[in-house]
Amino acid sequence: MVPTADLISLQFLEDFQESYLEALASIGAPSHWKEGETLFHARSPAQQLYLLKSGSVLLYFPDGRALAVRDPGQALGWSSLVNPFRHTATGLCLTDVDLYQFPREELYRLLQMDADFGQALMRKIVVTMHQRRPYHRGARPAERERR
Amino acid sequence: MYGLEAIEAANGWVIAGVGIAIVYTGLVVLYAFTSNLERILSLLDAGSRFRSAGKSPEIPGPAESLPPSEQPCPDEEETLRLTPQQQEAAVYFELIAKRLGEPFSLPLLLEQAEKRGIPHPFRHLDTFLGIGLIEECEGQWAGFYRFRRDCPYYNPDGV
Amino acid sequence: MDLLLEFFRNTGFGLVDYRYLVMIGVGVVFIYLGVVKHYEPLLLVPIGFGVLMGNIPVFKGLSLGIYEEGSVLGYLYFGVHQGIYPPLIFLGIGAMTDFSYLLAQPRLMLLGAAAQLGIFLTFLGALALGFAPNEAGAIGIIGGADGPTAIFLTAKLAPELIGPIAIAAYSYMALVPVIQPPVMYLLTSREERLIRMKDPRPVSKRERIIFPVAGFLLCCFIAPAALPLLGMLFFGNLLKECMVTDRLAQTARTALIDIITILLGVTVGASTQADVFLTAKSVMIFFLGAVSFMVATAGGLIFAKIMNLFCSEKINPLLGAAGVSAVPDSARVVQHVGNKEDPNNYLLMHAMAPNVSGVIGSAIGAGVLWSFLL
Repeated sequence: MVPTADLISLQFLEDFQESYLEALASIGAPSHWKEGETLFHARSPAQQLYLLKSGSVLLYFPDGRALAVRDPGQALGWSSLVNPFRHTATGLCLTDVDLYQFPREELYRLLQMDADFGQALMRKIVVTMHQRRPYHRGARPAERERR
Repeated sequence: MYGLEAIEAANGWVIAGVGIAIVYTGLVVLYAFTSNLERILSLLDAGSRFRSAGKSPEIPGPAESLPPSEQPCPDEEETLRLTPQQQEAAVYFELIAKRLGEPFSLPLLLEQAEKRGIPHPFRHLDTFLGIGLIEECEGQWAGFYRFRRDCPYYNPDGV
Repeated sequence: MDLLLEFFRNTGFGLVDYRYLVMIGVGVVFIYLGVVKHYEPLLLVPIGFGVLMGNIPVFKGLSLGIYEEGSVLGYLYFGVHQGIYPPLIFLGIGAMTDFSYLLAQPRLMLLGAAAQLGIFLTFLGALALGFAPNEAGAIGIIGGADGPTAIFLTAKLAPELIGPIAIAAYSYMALVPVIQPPVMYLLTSREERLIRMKDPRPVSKRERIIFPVAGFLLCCFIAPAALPLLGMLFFGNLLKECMVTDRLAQTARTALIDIITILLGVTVGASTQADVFLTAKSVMIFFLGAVSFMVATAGGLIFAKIMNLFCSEKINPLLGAAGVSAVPDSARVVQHVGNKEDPNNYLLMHAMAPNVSGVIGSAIGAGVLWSFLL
């Protein structure tokens, strides 16, 4: 259980109605991770959606690309809501990290109960997917200039 | 000859006693040096920080000719100056980046940093990403990174 | 017919006697232990096969045997009896050793010193049993639990005993999980075995770079005779830690050490011939070897208990057993024994500190014995 007021400040949920935030707050849980810990591995089953409260997480993909998620409110683990429900990247804590985590089953229950909430959430997920698409769908460049 | 007689005839007691003493002396001296090494290095760091504290940050040209958004903020520069440990880590990261070749993959960089025993590699990487010392490439190389040796916070000669 | 008989007399079948067969059996046992039981395979397989090569009955005069002038095995054996291979192995060991455990907890270094008591007490024991001083020194170094050090010192002091001493040293190193635990249980109480150690502090890269240089200078000024072994050990470590000589460090800890291990193992095995190995002396060497390991373990344990009388922050005395420099086996034994008492007590990283300091201590001990007994 997470205080609703904490979720209001998160960028990912910035235009969510209060009722949606309350629903999310009821299923969310705070978690704390230490520097160097792995949140999830690429290709492992995605069980949680995470929202970053503080700290930095490095997402790195099997082809070696990586992206640092450093802004509070950003989402991690969107694969928990998208087929085939396996993480596309490994999430590694670069610093001590505080997250809010939302279990997949509970999220699905909320999506099924309220179609509008489901649409709002999936819109956000799609935006995140598009932002990260160059990283996990990009073909590895043919040559690398070695300096 | 056997027994104590044989030991005495071969000066065994002296050899064993002196031998043990020399082994102990060697390791005790090494222990004394090693247990003070961290302190010695901290004193040297404090000395070099003291020497560089007198130097004011460079301000490019007359401040009035620069628009406010481009004027340097001395407080910001103070906060963002790398600590000696970070400078040291930055030097090692540069060596690893050279070895990996640019652009390089961040997970490989971290793997090599961990293998080489660089303390807190994750935290340092986060700092270096934040200040732009390690920056992401664009276009087809998005997701790969390069080391910006011209970053104003990077001072390898100061290490 | 005479020609056929002459030919038969010059084959191995014609020249063999029971001693060769016994040694061939020993070689086969070593290979079996290495391949099937996985006991130190990187050492026992080359040594075992070397024993086979050295105990094929051959016609003298054809430069085939390891002790014959001009033989290939003889040329390869040059690196052993001239003490060339062990320092090169130490170069590789230095390039793969992490001294940060030691730098984080320097006081544990003293446990490595204490365990070298095994060397000198075994030296006295060998003298008491009638061995000559140079032989006793070579036997004593078995207590250092370091194969290259044992071979180096034996090559200098008593080259004819290289075979039995090397085999005793490596055999007992493989048997550390059997030899040490009874001594550890005998000399420590349950309460002591449950002592938890504080997490070691992080060690900076600068410390890791400075240590091999300063350590080499300090140790070799105190014990110059340890120069060949410690020089290569610290040099290898500097190559690893400084990061600008990655290629050299990589070569030292992979290709170089593997090549030298092959040559050392095969030639030490081949030098182990029946007339030297199947003697009462060898039996006594094996007996003293076992005693030396037990004494070294006891020395480290007791010293840790003595340190606890003066230290406010207690040391788990099991760590003293890791001063026996069979890296990393004795550290693993400490972890295992400690873990059995308390599954949440992780002693391995602490045990690595006395373990690697034991390597330094045994090299200094070898240098001291060499300078006294040459």
